[in-house]
Amino acid sequence: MRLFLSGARTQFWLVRRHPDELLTLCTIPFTVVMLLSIVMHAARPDLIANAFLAPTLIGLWGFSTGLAAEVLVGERWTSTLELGMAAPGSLHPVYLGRISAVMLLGVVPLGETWLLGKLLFGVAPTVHHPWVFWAAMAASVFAMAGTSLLLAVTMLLSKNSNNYLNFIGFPIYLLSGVMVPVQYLPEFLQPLSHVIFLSWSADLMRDSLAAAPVAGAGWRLLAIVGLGVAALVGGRVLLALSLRRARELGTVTYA
Amino acid sequence: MSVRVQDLTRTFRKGKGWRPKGDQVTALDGLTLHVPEHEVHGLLGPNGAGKTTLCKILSTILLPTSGTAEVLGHDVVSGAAEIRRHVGIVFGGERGLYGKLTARQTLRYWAALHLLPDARAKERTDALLTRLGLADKADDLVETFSRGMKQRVHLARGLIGDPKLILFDEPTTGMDPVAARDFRELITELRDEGRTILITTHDMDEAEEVCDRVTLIDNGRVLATETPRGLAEMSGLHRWVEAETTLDVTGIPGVVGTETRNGLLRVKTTDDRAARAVLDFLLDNGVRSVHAVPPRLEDVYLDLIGRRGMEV
Ligand SMILES: Nc1ncnc2c1ncn2[C@@H]1O[C@H](COP(=O)(O)OP(=O)(O)OP(=O)(O)O)[C@@H](O)[C@H]1O
Ligand SMILES: [Mg+2]
Repeated sequence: MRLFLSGARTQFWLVRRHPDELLTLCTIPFTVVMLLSIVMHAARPDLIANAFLAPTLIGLWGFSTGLAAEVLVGERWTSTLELGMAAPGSLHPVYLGRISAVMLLGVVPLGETWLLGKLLFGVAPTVHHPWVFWAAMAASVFAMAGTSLLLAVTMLLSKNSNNYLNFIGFPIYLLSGVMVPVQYLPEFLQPLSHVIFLSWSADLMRDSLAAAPVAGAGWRLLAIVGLGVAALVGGRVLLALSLRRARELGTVTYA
Repeated sequence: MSVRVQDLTRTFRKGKGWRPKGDQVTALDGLTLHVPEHEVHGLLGPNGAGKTTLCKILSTILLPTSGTAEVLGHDVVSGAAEIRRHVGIVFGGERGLYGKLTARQTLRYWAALHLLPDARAKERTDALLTRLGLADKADDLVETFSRGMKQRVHLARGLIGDPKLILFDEPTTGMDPVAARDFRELITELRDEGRTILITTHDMDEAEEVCDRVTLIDNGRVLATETPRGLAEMSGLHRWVEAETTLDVTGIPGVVGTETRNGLLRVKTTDDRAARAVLDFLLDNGVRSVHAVPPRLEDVYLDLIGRRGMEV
């Protein structure tokens, strides 16, 4: 736990000196304005919730791919990965701590979106089930941290990590239903969305904003957490394998 | 014995994929090396000789391909966890530093990775910052530091876990003469504290000054392990005699050649006996400032490794 906290603390120190890495936050207003303009212009108040959720979740994902997933690549780049391998403490709690710190920042887009909606359009969705909403948000942040670890290790192994990361955002946005609810997608794509925790997050949060009672909130939360745990365990195992392989080959990259 | 390396071989494979199958590069080729406790041991050799690879194996960053390596009595494969507690690594240059952390933050981070409890981490961080003269700049970003100061951060980082063995990989690259001198003093201090030090360097003067013994490595093999002086004597290289004179000494047996620079006569002789004969001759003839110069480590190095220059 101490290693985890030390990692988190160090990441805050680093982010404070790297304000340019918070650029993700600057992309949020564009999405907000774009989506809310469409919704307001089409006079579809029923879609306001969607217009708010999309930037929030996209922001969370943006922090994951933009910052958290780069943590290990940065470690390789500065040779601190090697030094870490020679240190007695284990690396995964440290790196998970650093990634989790980034994901906590990932909550900021939520506030940003709400604020912009209020200021620019004078609207904000009513959160009818605040407990469900916040529980879903917390579960999503956790799942995003696990997923980020998995992504970060994948980045570490690949050489052209950035191209890959930029690409993967699009299928994720689509399949997770953050932009378009999943039931509007072609039918064959819909089952795929079930393995992406963001689709559960988007659904549950959307329902928590609506007046109708939320059906099965418990197991839906569990699905988010479960997918998060799966990614976390996967990332953890892959990290251990990668470090082992690095000791054998003298290189971490796969390609 | 701090380091006991026996027939150590390490190869790398080029190529892609999870298990590369390409050409094999041999970095270490049956290397044997013993470093007793409290010794400052230098690793010398041309680029690509395998010095860094050896350091990485000893610090458990890399696994050996074959042979054995023991550090502080623990095998680098089966006893890696134990070794990591007691070995510090110090790189040179930029690699291994977080530019966006301050010196203090850097040390706190590594203290945590060395499993120091919080109170002790603080204490040790402050002590090291003071010891290495970084106290004034402790809260400045490392990226704003000069090379010499970055090197001190490296050193402080390497010492955070209170290591019994310290591996230095080219620690003085880019240091100015003052910083380099301070560094040499520090090495002596660290040895006096009972630590063992293994240091790779391309700086022969430095090796000659700080090392108790040096090992010359080439192509992953040991050419020689000796004290710097012993190596020079063993090498059978020419002895030089220097004197401020215009006398002609070319008739003396064993004199191979002479050269005069700024009024200083330099006589090249085949061995100690010939050198003594030249000394006696000059002293008998009233020349005052005369001395014999043993070959320097650099001469020995160049003789053994060959004057390959840039070619590796
Ligand atoms: N990770 C690696 N993958 C492939 N080859 C490697 C790797 N590390 C080292 N080598 C090769 O092993 C040989 C020894 O390299 P090493 O870095 O140990 O030399 P060195 O003595 O430290 O040289 P230098 O003085 O330049 O630092 C070189 O031929 C190098 O190319
Ligand atoms: Mg090297």
